[in-house]
Amino acid sequence: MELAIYFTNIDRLSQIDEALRFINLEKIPSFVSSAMFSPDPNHNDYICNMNALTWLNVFTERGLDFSRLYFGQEFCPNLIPSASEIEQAFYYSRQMEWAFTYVTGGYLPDAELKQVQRNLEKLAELTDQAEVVVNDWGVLWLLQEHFPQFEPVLGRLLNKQTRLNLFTKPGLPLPMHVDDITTPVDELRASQLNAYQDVSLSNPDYLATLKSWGVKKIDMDVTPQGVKRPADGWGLDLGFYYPWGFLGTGRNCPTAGIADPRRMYIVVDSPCPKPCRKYNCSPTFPQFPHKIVQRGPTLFMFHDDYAEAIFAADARYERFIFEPWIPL
Amino acid sequence: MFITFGLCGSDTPEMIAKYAEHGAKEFFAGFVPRAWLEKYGWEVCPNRRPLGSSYNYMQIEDLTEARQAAKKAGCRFNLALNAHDNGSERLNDLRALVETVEKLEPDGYIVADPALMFSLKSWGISRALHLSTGAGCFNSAAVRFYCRHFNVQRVVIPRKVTLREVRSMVTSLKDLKLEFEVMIIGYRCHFNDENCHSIHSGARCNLCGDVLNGHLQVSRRFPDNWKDVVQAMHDDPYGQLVEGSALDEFRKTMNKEPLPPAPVSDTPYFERGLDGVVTRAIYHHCGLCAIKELRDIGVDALKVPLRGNDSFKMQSISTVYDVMTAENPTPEYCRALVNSPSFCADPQSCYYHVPEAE
Repeated sequence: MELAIYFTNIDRLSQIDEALRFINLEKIPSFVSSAMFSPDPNHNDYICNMNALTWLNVFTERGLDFSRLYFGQEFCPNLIPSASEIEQAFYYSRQMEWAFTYVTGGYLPDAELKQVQRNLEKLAELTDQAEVVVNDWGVLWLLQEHFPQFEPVLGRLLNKQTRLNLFTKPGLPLPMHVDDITTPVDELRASQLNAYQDVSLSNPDYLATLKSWGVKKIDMDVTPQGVKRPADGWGLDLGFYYPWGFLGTGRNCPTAGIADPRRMYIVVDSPCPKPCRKYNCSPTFPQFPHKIVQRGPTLFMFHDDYAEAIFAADARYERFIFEPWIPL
Repeated sequence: MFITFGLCGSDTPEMIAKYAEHGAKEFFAGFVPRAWLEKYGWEVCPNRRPLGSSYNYMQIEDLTEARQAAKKAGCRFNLALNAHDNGSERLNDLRALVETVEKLEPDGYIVADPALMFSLKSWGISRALHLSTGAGCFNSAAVRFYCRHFNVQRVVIPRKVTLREVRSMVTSLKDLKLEFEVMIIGYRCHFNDENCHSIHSGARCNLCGDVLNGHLQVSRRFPDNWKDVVQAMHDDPYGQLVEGSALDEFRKTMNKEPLPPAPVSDTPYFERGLDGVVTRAIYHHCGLCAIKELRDIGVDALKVPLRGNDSFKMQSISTVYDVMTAENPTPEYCRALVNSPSFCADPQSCYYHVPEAE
């Protein structure tokens, strides 16, 4: 098992000690702590940082420590780090004697893909021993054409597994559209769950092609229903992000909408003023059983009880990617 | 430029003929056979729309009639198979579905999942592929990537792009002789389709609906030293309840400036024209003002994705056709057709940012 830690920018990386500093919230009387942590969904980032650190402890107690830095931006093309930041992050990882993974994003129009290309060129000046997380097929094309020395890791934005399905659980009331289906409900729900656990990666034609492209590792989100991984693990190393998985994302952004309401709905053809550096803007979701929070353009879910299995000593995956903060 | 139009399971040959008369040159539809429905119920659709006849054809006889009606009208007919994730155990069901549909000789398949594209290849299916919005082609390199491996005829450009980005892609891919398609009317989706991984089963309000209808909370980000405050609360909780404590200073910092308002859309009142909310019931979202530039860029197809929306299809298709065929469809021209200043003034109504329309 390899432990990686993920930061999206240099500012965050420079505060790594703070990010990993644990304080036991349970020791604070709730009438005092509630003055800091209100039921505001935007505060989940902070509270969940503390909760996640307790789970991270499971690994450190087993003698594991971080040996890899993930660095980059998956969700917002306006926040792609500069080549200079890539260089600083790379040197930081070298100083720590960690391996380096450059994380690229999923929304890369031609102009933003050029920024990624510049970052890859900088990385190529520094090393030929890096991994690149690929979340857009255009980036894989770039790697194949210009940077074959880097190892592609299939990112979680290219793994399209359903993250939040709410109607497959046994015992729940039936939703409205049953359309005269005669199959017993339990059988139906078993088929649904089975389908949501089985991912495209298990398609033999696809899997063989991925391997022929040099893909040896894949990163995924933990999902409430879990993932059906065959005994040979697809012949790929599997990494899980923790504690934040994403449910949906886009290029419109409620937080950017604070500065310009149009950005809540569409992409505006001018630079984003990035109010996300100062504010958060999230809908409240009292109806969902999990902690869900919007950050920038992306809806994230905190992995709670259903993620317990990944902390078992015999859990079958190869990399734990720790996100001290929501990665935006 | 032409219109490609989404069919519901309830669209009859007569209605298809009418859509063609109103300007549709191509149709697309989904098909969910009874056996699929019996196995997966209300979840796991093969084409990104909720299961049920308001969205999909459920009987092969009805799909056959629809296909024939399209042919009779001189229109192309494509089948949507654009689920994002298709595990190996579903492949047999998908293969049975495709083999059934193959007998109808569709013009192409709309596909999002590269894994399924490889399966189609290995099943010997060589029909043209349309890269669905779910394939997430935001850049020219991604399109070249797909074209290297598959028989791609068309790229459906994802929702949420700027016109400048569309121009960049179309211009730089001229050598590949592809068709380009954009969405122009109907539901714009809150999250981008290719990265929306929640429910869309029709069983209840979808997650995106919850986001749009929910209360938006704006908050200031915590200062970098927030853990010092937590430490102070931990070390001396009752000492925080006095003026000048770490907690007191933290709260004052957070409250120093008023928070900006959440970006809540407001449909403004106008005396003239149709009310904005009523207009939204017809068009949902609208990209009419962008058609002129999209045409200039060289976009081939305008998608009118109104599957599941039985009413007002004729009005939508006629309006799009009018703008598409007008010599100079300026924003003023489009707004006059929509006849709702209230709808057009609401930022949530638009599909694209069209600077000339501001």
